[in-house]
This record gives sequence, structure tokens and C-alpha cells, in this order.
Amino acid sequence: MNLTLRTMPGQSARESAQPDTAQQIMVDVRNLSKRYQLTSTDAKKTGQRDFWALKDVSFKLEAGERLGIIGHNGAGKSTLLKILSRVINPTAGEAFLYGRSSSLLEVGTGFQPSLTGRQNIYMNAALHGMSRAEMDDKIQAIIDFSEIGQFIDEPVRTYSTGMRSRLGFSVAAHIDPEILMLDEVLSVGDAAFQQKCLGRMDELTGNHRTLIFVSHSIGAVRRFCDRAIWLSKGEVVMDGNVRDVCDAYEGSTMNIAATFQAPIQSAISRNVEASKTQKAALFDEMANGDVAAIVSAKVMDETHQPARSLKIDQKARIEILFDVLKPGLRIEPAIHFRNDKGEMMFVVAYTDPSMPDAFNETGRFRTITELPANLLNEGVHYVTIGLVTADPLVRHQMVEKAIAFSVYEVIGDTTKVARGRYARSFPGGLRPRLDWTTERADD
Amino acid sequence: MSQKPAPPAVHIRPERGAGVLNPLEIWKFRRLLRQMISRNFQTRVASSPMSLVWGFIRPGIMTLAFLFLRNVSGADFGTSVPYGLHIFTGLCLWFLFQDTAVQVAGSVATDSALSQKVYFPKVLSPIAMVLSRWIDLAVISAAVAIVQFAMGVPFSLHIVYLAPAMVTLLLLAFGLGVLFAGLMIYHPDYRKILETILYLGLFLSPVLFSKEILPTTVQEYYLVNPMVGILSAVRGAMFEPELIDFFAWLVAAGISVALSLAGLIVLSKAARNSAEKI
Repeated sequence: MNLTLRTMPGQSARESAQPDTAQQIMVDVRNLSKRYQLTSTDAKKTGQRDFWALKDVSFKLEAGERLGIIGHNGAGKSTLLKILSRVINPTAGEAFLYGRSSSLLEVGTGFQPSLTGRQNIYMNAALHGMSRAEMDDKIQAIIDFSEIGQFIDEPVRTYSTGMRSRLGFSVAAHIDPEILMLDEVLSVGDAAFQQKCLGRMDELTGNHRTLIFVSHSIGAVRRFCDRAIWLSKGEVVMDGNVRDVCDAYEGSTMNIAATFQAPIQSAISRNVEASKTQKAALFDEMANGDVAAIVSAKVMDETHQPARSLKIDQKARIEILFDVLKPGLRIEPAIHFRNDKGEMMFVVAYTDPSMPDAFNETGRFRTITELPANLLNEGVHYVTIGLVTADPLVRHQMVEKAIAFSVYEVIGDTTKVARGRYARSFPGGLRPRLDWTTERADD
Repeated sequence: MSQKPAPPAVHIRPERGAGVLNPLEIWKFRRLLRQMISRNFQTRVASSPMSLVWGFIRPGIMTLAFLFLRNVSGADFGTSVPYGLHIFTGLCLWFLFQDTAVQVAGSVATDSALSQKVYFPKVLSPIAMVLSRWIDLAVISAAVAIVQFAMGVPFSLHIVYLAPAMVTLLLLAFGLGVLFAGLMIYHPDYRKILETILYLGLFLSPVLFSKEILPTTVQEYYLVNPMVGILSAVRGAMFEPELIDFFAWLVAAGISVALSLAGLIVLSKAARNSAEKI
């Protein structure tokens, strides 16, 4: 890659800080720490006046890497980004940025209500280090993108909130830095505005630009980033592939478990070496009022590996292991899917043609169902596993939210997913990719 | 493939030292500075289209009032030119100085929302504010020149001192303003102290009278008020060439520079201190 490196306004050169050109390091963070002094009365009483918002954070970012910073509120995400944006100074450690950088911590920063949209564009662009000549070249594109139209020469105080947001993002979206730092800016504005943001983000991040993206939206991080750092209490908990880090974070914070194991192992599970006759006896013994029991369940990816997260254009498999303890009840598994709001999305009935009478005999069974690619929407999905007799309906066992997994989309070939030309997030729990047949009908 | 020169880097590290003013960094942010100057001016005009005219209307009205009082009382203020011209010049300069100092003091707070989201040297705000007043200087100078011409008071070659004298005035306003900009970060009530100082200063400076009416011994100590040297320099450049006190002007310039440096140190420390506390 042929990088043209420039400095943003105020960037100071330092001879001793040269990038490793072999690896094209763009960001080099070394043991960054930030301490605040608490000034509350409680802090003074307890004597604990130091609060470390960031502790010994180190990482390197290569050209074209897209890093997502995730973590709870107060984890240090925004502090890290503010230090890298030079808005605040670190208490210890250092960082080097190689290349022109621009940060967008807030949409519409510095708008003067009494000035016109056009005047504010020039001011905002200067804040992001753009020259007047650059602005002259881009101003029409910015105005067009913002859809402000004839109001561009009216004072910003007459704009609606949406218009201000659009104008702010429009300027930011036309900055052309090599290192782009964004903080939650995609979560503002109405749906149409977010659509604009996401579309432009796809363009920006797809152009081999180095990105540092702070967000509470794990979906957005999965979509835009290929690497993630999980911060907690100012420290790096995990740094790695975006899928691994997001999986671990969601598993830790959202109680997502891709596998379910019955808490009490049944006698049959403890006697795997038992003979068929012995097992039949064990099933009789275990029944004791119960007719069926779920042993385990898990979600797997296309390679049959347990997975907490799945790409939206990949198939998912759900495997259920269960014991039928009483014969003749035509027991069958049932699966309920709920979205992250707990809303029921759909129920899957057992339809395996090889078992037309369901499970009428005692024994241990393993069944796998396959979810087609491009069925579920992005986000977390909870799966309730049940064992039922279908007609008349009797629920023998239901394990609510037994397993959960997240579905994510990565930027790239939009023809493989049900995105079309939409840039925004899709509502609802499903996002099926359907076939279309179209012909002219005006002949 | 030819070896490219090593690219420069932004180096982020804990701030050390006074961090007063880095001219190189100001230069690198010149485009933003230019935009901020333009913004300040445009904002003023948008919120008060007559703002430039008020720069001489307010002193003009006060001049008429003081002329009335002087004619009624018959007091002698020791001026060698028509009293109206003397106080009109003084009041124009004083209000310019006062408004500039107050606006410079408030500039950091005004831009605080901006500086929390985008990096730029904090000192850019007061610098932009003081530089955006250049047009007021021009308007006031023109107004004084018109009044002087109308009164038949001749111009001299000393007019060449006008620009440096005005620069000294703005430097003093910048120094006082930036000092209080820093102090106001520690405590907002410093704004009231600044306003009180400026209110008293109007009567303690030779705005409404000539310093020549004071006893000679007092005049020596009077030079610690930097407005003495600045007002004598401006009036001397315009219409009282024999009264230019270069020593007083030098003292005023020295005080303005010292005040500016002290102000920058206080601002830098205050800004860093506030950024470390939550």
C-alpha cells in the first residue's frame, strides 16, 4: 500500500518516533494511563481521591485495521479515544499516530446558531484540519449529502435537530483522514440519518482506512471492525479478533451461552458404558414421574463447532440431546426463538420425516436442526428448548433461553446478505433473503 | 523503489512544564485561527448588526454628556486640544479595551464545549478573540480622525505611531483577558473582579482628563497604570505629538507583555488542573 502521510494541524514531528514501515504501524499506544482526581466530599472523606480511568493500555494498529473498543459505561473507552484525539492528556504512557488523523466525538461540534449552515461548514471543516481549498472542492458534496438544500444559507438556529445532525455528520463524512476515530456518532439522529451514517461508514471503513471505533453497539463493532479491545475499569481485558472479543464480552455481560448442559447429570449420563438392557432399566428408574429430560443443547456454526456468534450469511445448527423416559407419548423437541427484547420471533416444530411418530420409545436421542443462512437479523437471539407432545399439546419440559447466540454482519459483499441498497440497521428479529422475479409489465 | 522520507508522527504524552505558547503549533493551526477570527466577527454581526457602529456611538453619547457637565461646572481637565476630542478618543479606546478584555476572558469558556470534542490549542480562543477586534480598531481610528478633522485639529507625521500604539492596547487587553480567562477556570466569580477593575479603571486612567493635571511626583507612579502610556501614545499619534511619552509607552508595553505571559501560564495551568478533576 502506498501511504501518503501528512500531519493534522498541530501534529508535532518527532524524529525518534518512526513507524515500523514493514508492518505499516499507524497507531502505537504504549502504557497509556489516565488518572482523575475526585473532588466530591465523599472522596475527600475517604481519602480515595485518585480515580484511574485508564491503566496501562497498550496496543498497535496497522494500516487498514479497524479496531472496535467495547466495554461498559465507565470502562475507559471514551477516555482512550479522547487521549488519542488529544482532547485530554494522559497521566502516564505515550502514543504515536502516524498519518493524518481525525476524530469525531460528537456530531455538529462547534456549530454557531447565529451563523449559516455554509459558514458553519467552513468552521467545522477547519476544526477537522481541512484547508479552505479542500473545502471549496467538497462543499457542494457536503451540502448535497446533508440534504439541507436551500436552507444552507439560513442561520443554523432555524434548523431542526435532524438538520443539524445531518449537517454535522456530512462535514465529518467528507474528512479524508488516514486514521479515523469515532465515538458513538452513529447512534444519534433519526432512522433516516442513521442510514446515511452507516452507508458512509461502509464507504469510509471499506477504503483501507485505519479506524478506531468506540461503541456500545456490539453489532456495529462486529460490522465495521476486524479487531476489538474489551476494556473494563480502564484495563484491557481482551484484545483480538472482533468475533472472539465480542463473543467473550457478550458472554460475560449478556449471559450468552452457546451451550446448555442440564445442571444435574442423569443416571444415564453417568453410565455411558451401560448395556442396552441396563440403560432401559435406568430410564425406568429415572422416569419417576418425568417423561422426558433435556440433557444438553448447543448452537453450532457450519463447521459443527459451538459458536456464540454467527455470520448472517452462514447456516446455524442447533443440536439437542434429550432422554425419553416413558414410551408411547410421541415426545418431540420444540424450539422457540426470541430476540434480544424478549419478543417471540417464531417457533420451530419437529418435522423430521425419518421420525414420523416422533419419539415413542425410551432412550437418549440427538437431533439437529439447521437454520438457513440469511434468516435471522443481526443481534442477540435467545433459544428456548422444549420437549412436548404435540397433539394434544403437553409441555413436558421447557428450558427458557437455554442457549443464546448473536448474529452479525460484516461489511463487504452485500449481494450475499439481505441488505440490498439499505445502509441502516433492519428492524425486527428476522431478515430473510428472498428470491425475486421481476419483469416489465408495461408492454 | 525509492526510499520515502520517514513520516512524521503525533506524539501524545503527559504535559510537562508551563506549556505557555508554542508558536509553531499556533502556525500549524493558522487555518482554524483564521476561521475562528472570521466566526467571531460573523457571530457579532449576526447577533448585533450595528456592533461596529456602537464602538463610537456609545463614546459619542458619553462625550456629549461629559461636555455638558464640563460646560456647566467650568472644570479644567488640562487638555491641550478641544476637550470633546480628548475624551471622545479616550472613551473610544477605553470601551474597545474593556470589551476586548471581557471577551478574551470569556473566550475559553465560550469554546469549552468545542475544546472537549476537538483538539486545538486552548490559547487559540483568546488569540482569535483579540485578533477579531482589528476591524473595531480601524472603525474607531476613522471615527476619531473624522471628529479631529471636523474640529480643525491638524494631523502630524506622528500618525505612524498610531498602529503600534493600538497594538499595545490590544496586547494589554489580551494580557488582562487571558489572565482572567485562566482565573475564571478556577472560580467563575473572577469575572466580577475583572468587571470591577475595568469599571474603576475608567476613572483611574487618563480617559476623561489629562495626566498633566496631576502633580509631577504622582505622574511618575501613575505610569504603573499601562493605560497612561497607551492613551498618551494614541493621542500623541493623532493630535498631541508633543505629549507622546515614549517611556510611559515602553512601560505599558512591558506590562502588557508580562501580563500576557503570566496570563498564558495561569490559563495553561488552570486548564490542565481542571482537566485532571472530576
